[in-house]
Amino acid sequence: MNHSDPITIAVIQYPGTNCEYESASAIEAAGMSAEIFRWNRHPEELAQFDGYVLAGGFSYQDRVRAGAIAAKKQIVGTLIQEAAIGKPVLGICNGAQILIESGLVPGNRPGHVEMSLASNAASGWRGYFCDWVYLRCEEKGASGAFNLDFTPGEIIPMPVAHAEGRFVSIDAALLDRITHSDQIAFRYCDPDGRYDPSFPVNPNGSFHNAAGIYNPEGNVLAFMPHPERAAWMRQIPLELDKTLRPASLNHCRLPGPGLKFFTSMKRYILNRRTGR
Amino acid sequence: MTSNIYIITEMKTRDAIASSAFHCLVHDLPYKNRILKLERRECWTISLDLPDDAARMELGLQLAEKTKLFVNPNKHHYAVRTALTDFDTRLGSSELSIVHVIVTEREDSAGRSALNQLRSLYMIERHIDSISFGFLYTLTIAPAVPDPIGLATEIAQLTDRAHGLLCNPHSQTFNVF
Repeated sequence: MNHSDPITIAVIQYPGTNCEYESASAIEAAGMSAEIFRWNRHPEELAQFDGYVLAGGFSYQDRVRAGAIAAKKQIVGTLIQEAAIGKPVLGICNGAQILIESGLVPGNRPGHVEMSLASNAASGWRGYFCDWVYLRCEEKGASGAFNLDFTPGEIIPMPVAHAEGRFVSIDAALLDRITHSDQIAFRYCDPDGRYDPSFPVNPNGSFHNAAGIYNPEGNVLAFMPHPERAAWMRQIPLELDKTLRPASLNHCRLPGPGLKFFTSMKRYILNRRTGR
Repeated sequence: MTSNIYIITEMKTRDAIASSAFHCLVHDLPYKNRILKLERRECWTISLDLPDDAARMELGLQLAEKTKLFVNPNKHHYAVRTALTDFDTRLGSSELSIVHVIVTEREDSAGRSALNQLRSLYMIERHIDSISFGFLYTLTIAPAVPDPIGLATEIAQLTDRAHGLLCNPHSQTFNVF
């Protein structure tokens, strides 16, 4: 493949997915080409793409468990094969739930489901939560496919909207291993970057304030917040970004922090093509 | 001494969750021809310190009919039972195996919330020790399956993409009977 060939990303659309068009817009704003790929197309067609985004929503209406039915579909089997050769896969919100239910993340024992995204159970809050939170980009996850354009330690505002976002596992050794590895790339924090396990800093009670967890190879990310909803500065609430006040039209058109996930993805794909 | 009473609700309309789970088991997972039917109900397990079945049944009926916490009469059929083993599954053939799987969240906020509301909203405190909420799946298993309980356990416990569906053991527990 030529370095200058266009980069194409498949945005997987299940019945009930509802963030595929915003995700495709963010991908295209990052300089890649996006195609919305329905779950019932022939899975082998997926191989022609350079990377994949499992968009947010309510696949199969969250029946049985969020992401449980979608994870069993043949298309996920193909995603697992493509991820194994190093292609980047980003699961956003419901997409993250699918990655966890399929065992792709955390992926320490390939093929096995090692975690769950359980119902929100933060101290003082249970159930669905929709608001802006802050995330800190971890130094440890800096080499991951979706971190490349972030500065380690960078604090970013990002919206969350979920009822099942609490990363949990009954395997205490696994949690310990993940905590001390490079797999937790983003953690919930306060505006000054301090970690606080209580609500609302940690909106769902996730262990170690984890908001996004990579597989060990760093090319598959299960990420609960919505970067596609923070891809332009105009999407960032005024109270979170003081630089917008007084808001200028030009500033509103600037890329937001969420776009860096997609520009990082592009950089990762280009690096793979050039063998870096 | 405490004993349980069970309020079991079932959708009056076709249960889409049960349909999707069954479709997934027979089309996406390798259980075709072994599992013939899957039904789903919601099961409230209420632990009471009442001495006999009649008293427990009376309070169970009151909770089901007089509060709005467990049964929505617009969408639910319901039953109150003193044991889950006498649950009627309307069998068509005695050779089929019927196995129940009850799946409960490890952090059972629905049960806790119902108990809190009973106490704060309905001022009902006496006799109720605890409430837990779970999904009660009823599997109809083909006669040729030699170990129906084993198959139901495999279907319940999610281990990898190819095995298990109903319970993710990292956030849920299950019981097969």
